[in-house]
Amino acid sequence: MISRGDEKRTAQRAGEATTIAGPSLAGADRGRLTRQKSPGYLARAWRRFRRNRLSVVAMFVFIIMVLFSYGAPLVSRYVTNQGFGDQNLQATFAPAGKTISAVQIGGPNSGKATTTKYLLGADELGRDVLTRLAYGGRISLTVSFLTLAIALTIGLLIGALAGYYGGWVDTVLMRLVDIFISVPGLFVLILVSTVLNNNKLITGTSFYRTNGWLILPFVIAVLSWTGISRLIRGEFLTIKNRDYVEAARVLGGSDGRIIFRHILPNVLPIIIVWATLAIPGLILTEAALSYLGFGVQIPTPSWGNMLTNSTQYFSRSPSLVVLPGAMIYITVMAVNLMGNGLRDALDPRLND
Amino acid sequence: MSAFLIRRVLQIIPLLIGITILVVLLIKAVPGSPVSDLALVPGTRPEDVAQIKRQLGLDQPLYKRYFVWLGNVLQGDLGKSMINYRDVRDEIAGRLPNTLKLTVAAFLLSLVFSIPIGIYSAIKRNSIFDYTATVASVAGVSVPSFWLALMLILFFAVQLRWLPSGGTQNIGDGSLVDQLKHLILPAITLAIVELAGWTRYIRAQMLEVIRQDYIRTARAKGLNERLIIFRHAFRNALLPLITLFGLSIPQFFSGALIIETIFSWPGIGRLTFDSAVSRDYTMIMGTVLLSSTMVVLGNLLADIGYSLLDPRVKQG
Repeated sequence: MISRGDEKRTAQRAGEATTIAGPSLAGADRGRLTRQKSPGYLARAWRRFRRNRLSVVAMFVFIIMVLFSYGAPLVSRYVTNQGFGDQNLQATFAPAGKTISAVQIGGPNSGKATTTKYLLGADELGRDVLTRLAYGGRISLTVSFLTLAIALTIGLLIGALAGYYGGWVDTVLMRLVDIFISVPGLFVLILVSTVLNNNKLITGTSFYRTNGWLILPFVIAVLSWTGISRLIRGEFLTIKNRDYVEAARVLGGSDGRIIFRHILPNVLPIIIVWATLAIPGLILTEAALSYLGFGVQIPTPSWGNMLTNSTQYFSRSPSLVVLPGAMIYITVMAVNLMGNGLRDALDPRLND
Repeated sequence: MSAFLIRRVLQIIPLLIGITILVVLLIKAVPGSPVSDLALVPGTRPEDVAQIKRQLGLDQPLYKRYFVWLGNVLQGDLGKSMINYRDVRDEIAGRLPNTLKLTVAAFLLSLVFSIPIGIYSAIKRNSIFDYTATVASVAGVSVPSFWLALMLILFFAVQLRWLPSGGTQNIGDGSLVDQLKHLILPAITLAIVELAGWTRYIRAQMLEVIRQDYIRTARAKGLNERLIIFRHAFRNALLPLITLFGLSIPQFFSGALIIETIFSWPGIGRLTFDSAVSRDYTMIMGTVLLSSTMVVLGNLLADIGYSLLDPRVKQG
């Protein structure tokens, strides 16, 4: 029987061994070997990740943020009893924790006298800040995740094509990447946002009127795919000459099969790490665009556009400025710390 | 070396042309034009609008306008603003010093803090200092710059009333102290994100270099530690930093757009923002050309500096 302390130390040693010796690490843990099969790649990665306490804590913070954001309807229903658009002019700038009885305007209780406790206060229109933070988080995170998905798709395709085929395909695609990297980013985003949000084909639909913010992921993705495509290209350049790729080719594997079944799985850890570390930037970009007025449009709340309005009431109610920013800050920092841990765990080569 | 230089410089030209084409196509895709707002003014006759369009050259097809613009740019003429008819070159020249002041101050701040902190955390690896610096740099990288700007204004300008909340100087007061006071908050905000990133990078580079054989040799010779760190390790760690500095230039420019907007700093970033809002085609093209040229030149200088300083780097 191994005591807890011993186990931890063995795990630690095993983890250290990986970074140097690679797959032979399981041998270091002899007691375990006799009892079970050597742990798989994921198990080993998880063990290495767990060693980094800060990353584990960060992961839990991030999970809490995600639960809070996607649980927005539950928060609204059971905690605050307010919708994100419910206004109450008698509650404007209510300080945190204040209880106000008033006739409700809008929402399911419209016209009825209600007593509401504003746990985090209310904004300039008397809307509950906690509810809006939850819904705002849902929008901000969804925008970031969707952007990531789009950027990954574009970046993967372009990087894989450039790296795999090389030659003029590579030259053309990488010059394209150079162009996208050299234009001033935020500025192009503002232009693209204006283009898409003024396009009759898009804005004419009834879907746009209720879900206009879904344009935003496409806007941000326009500039976010360059990093991953360069990374993927580099990996493809080295991997495509490995023996197993050569073998697949000799066996008559098509290009598509080689790219997606043989090379891509080997690049997966890098993609995962990149994706995690890209999320903070995407959250910040969404927030900056929304703050400047080119992102999520009011009345739909996002962490960024909650800040836009609040700056006007700076001295009256500082918490309106502090809270949405703090949410962004905490989330971004948590993902960053988590991403660093993941990078060390999944691929020691990517170390800084 | 000179062949490498020439090739590298020649590569810039298609890149810049590509960038301008991308922006022209984007602008074309934006509905409306600088004159479309004018048509909404009551009493404006359609023939007046057509007349102004003709004057601005907007009745010409896009490719023609682009080539005319390109031809003029090659002669040093960036055209006139479509909103207030001011010369784009003069407008940019008037605002560039403000942006340079801001970015240079932020650059220096980042440099002055990141290098000592980075080196010290690398030397004292896994110490409390190193740990604090690492967490602080993650905190710095993660902070939303516009929010940080608002927080600094809230604290130093609104609460403490120590520093002004925006602008470059008080009206009627242009003294150096006054100007510096106005510079502090925006420069700090702009510097923090870069500073944090650089610190981590410098630490990583130092750790990498310290592991090398020639450092062990220097130690074995009995050289004193200070000499090893500064003469042997830091010099070599500095090389990749040059690339990093070059790559930071676009970030400084993007950052400046937000910071200048918040601190009402009359620089290029704010000009870009305003002209994007008012669809001032010529002004947009001018600012984009300027900032992307800066970015491309930054990368070029980094490349050249790198190959000049490090003979190991293959040229080409």
